[in-house]
Amino acid sequence: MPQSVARKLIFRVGETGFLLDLDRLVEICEQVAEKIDGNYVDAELGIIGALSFRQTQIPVIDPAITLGIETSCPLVDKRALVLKGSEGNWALLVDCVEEIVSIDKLDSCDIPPLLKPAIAAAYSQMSLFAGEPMVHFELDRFYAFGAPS
Amino acid sequence: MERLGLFVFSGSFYAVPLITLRKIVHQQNGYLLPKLPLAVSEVLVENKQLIPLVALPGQDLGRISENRGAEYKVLVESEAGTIALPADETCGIIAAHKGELLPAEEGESAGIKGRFNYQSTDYHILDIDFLALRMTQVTDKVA
Repeated sequence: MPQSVARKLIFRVGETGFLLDLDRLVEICEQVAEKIDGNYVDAELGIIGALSFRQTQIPVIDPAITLGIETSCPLVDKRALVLKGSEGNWALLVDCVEEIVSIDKLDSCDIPPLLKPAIAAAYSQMSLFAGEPMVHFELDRFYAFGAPS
Repeated sequence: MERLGLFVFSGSFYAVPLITLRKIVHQQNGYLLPKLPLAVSEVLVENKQLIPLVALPGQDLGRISENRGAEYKVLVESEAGTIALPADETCGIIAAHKGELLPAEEGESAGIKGRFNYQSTDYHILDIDFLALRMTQVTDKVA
């Protein structure tokens, strides 16, 4: 298994912790509020604006909106994770980035069958890290062009 | 001999058959997850298993986030898996013959399958399987 897959990045939106495969991460950008052009919005795709990144404009997805997560983190304090997608880079707005963990620090954890109908469209895998349930961030479920290229 | 576990939440009195009662946890915080069903306010982690904290019968589903602060959480086994219920106070385990088992009152909220009158108090006997299955019927809320 490549080292980048054997490790996960933990980020948080609202109270919820997420796990992201490191091999999909291009860069973590801070202080992004001023770099987001809010004129480019596509609610159907969950795009809230375009981020200037390496002389290009890339779509920005806010998972707090697409997943209906309450967060008190203001835009000025958010970070953007620039991710690889099938159609190029795109950015994911998160409240904070916590750490990188090896998958052997994660415990497997089944989603109760009765919860699956409600959450299946958003995620299908969870793990426990230090006893806390973490959602595996499945890129293609959040953004049409987030699927691996 | 049938026994019932009794508890109180938000001024209402509830009973669950002892055979369904798995554990009562005290001051255990749960976790919010995205896209939880409307009837679920959080999930608890118990022995590496996720356990949804579900609403009690008659609760306003728009206000069940208050259930997260419950002093106790009563873990019960349904046919479809373990669920948790919020409790302010636990009232012990009582043999059914020490009180009176009565049918649910007309117009009672769904999820209540009868009453247990014990020391002049009516405890609503919960239909655990109904409360568990209700999770699949009401969805879409803000996490």
